[in-house]
Amino acid sequence: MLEVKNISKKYRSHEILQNVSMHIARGEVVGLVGQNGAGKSTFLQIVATVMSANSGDLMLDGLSYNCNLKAIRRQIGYVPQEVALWEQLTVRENMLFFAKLSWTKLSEEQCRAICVNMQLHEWDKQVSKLSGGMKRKLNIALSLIDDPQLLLLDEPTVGIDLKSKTEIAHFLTQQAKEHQKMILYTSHDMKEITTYCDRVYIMGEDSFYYDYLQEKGITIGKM
Amino acid sequence: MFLFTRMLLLKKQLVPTLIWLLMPLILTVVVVQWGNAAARDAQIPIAIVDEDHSELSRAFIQELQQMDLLTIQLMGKQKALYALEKNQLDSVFIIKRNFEKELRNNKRNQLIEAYSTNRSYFYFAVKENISSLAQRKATQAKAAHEVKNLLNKYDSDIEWSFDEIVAQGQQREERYELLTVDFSYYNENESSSPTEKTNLLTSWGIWAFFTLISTFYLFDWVIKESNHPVVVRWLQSKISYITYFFSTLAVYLLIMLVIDILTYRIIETQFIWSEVLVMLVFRLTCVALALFVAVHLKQVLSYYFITPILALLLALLGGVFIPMERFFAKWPIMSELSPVYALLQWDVSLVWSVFIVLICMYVYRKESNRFA
Repeated sequence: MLEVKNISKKYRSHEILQNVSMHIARGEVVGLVGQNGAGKSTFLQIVATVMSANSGDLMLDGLSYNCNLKAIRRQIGYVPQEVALWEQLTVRENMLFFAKLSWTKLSEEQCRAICVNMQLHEWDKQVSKLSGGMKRKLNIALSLIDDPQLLLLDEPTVGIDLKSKTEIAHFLTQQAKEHQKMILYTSHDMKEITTYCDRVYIMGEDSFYYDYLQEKGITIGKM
Repeated sequence: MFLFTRMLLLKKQLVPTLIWLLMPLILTVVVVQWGNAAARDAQIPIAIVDEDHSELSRAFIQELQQMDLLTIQLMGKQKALYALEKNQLDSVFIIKRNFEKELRNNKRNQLIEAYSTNRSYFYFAVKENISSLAQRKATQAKAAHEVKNLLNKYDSDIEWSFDEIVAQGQQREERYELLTVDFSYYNENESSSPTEKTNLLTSWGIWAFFTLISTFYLFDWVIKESNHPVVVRWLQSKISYITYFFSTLAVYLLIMLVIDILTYRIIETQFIWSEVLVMLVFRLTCVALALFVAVHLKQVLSYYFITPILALLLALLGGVFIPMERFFAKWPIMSELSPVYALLQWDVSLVWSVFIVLICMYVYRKESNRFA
């Protein structure tokens, strides 16, 4: 279980997050919505340990972030908003590159299986020649190498076609339900959020999201 | 593990990396060879006809051959005059029979015969040079003659041959540097010597300039990789990004140092360890400079724009393109401004050594604090 209690983040005098709290249980897909600049990416980066909060507590499966950073990082798979891939390498080379640096020693077949599972079949194609959807899939596949328990995805389906979007969302749901993983992801696609998320957190004080989600009968978490 | 991943990235840019790695060596050899060829082309071709075939005439020709501005060809009179007619030579000088005998007998006239054409543009300058050398030889011979006469006159026990006296005279000339005069202004301690050595366009100066440029370009990976979104993936990796960063640095450094030692073997005839050490410290300084610039820039284009200017500036301050010795003699502290100057003096600069350590510490700190 991921527990976030009263975290705050400031950039100079600008307060981005103020006493934000949330939790995710195993097997849950949780959505995070809000206007641009509401702090969704900052929040995700804090949970992913890319940056630290000014105050507050974070715990993953009973381990505090403060004193178990290395162990916590092994349990997290973070998919940044930007496509974080070596464009000059092939899909195979990208997978092998990070498999070699990972904690879990995966064989080439195991790496390929992750990609196939995500409907990414262009194994020997150079990343720069892949479509946007395929790049997004590889972006997620790389984060799955260490079999993380908590998956944090920052707009993983932005700018891609409906088929790839559906495949990705379906895959994430499957990961949560079948492998009891915790998934937190941000998106601006409300249809996707309402279809695949068990609960949704709204960042910022915007009644639009609240009204929309209530109308769709989605459980809204209190942050 | 590390090497496998590094090779994956390197193999995609193997050719440019190899070009940049070997560039200082290749360009230094090319520029030096080109400079030598240009100097050879600028030499004045003359022919010497040795009719005397004596020891003294051979010594005279040897001395002529040491003159940088002349290309001397030894040939027979007819062949030489034919080449002169065809304008293949600037002028022809014939060392006449009995050259040695006449000199030893203190006769100094008509020892050398000269030929020129209306296209012998350098004839007068060459003639002056040859006359002056002949005069010197004649004076040496006269002096030897006088000494021998004096030894005979005073029934000295010392038995010196003509050649021994000439050799002694030459030794004294060299020891006392009779032609070297120091000039200085009144009340000033510094003196400038005509024999003062400058580092202008030496092979190591050229190498230093190209090494600066190649190191800067080879280290563009610091900007390309450190600012790449992919860096965030090291959070979930077994080795941290800082370890990966410094391992890459070590691999590059190792390859560079091997190439530097190879370069030294090619350029220098003797292998002096102290000089190799200075060279390696210079390479470390280049790397530290590249790191310092790279960690402060986010755009690789700005890096490509700034670094050649920096390389040129450091080469200029190091005295590669313009002589700086007089400037540094007045303000010695300014010689520390460029690591190139220390290299050209085959000296390790303390200031730049401290700089290397400080930069490594700074970069380590900066990269360590990248994530939470």
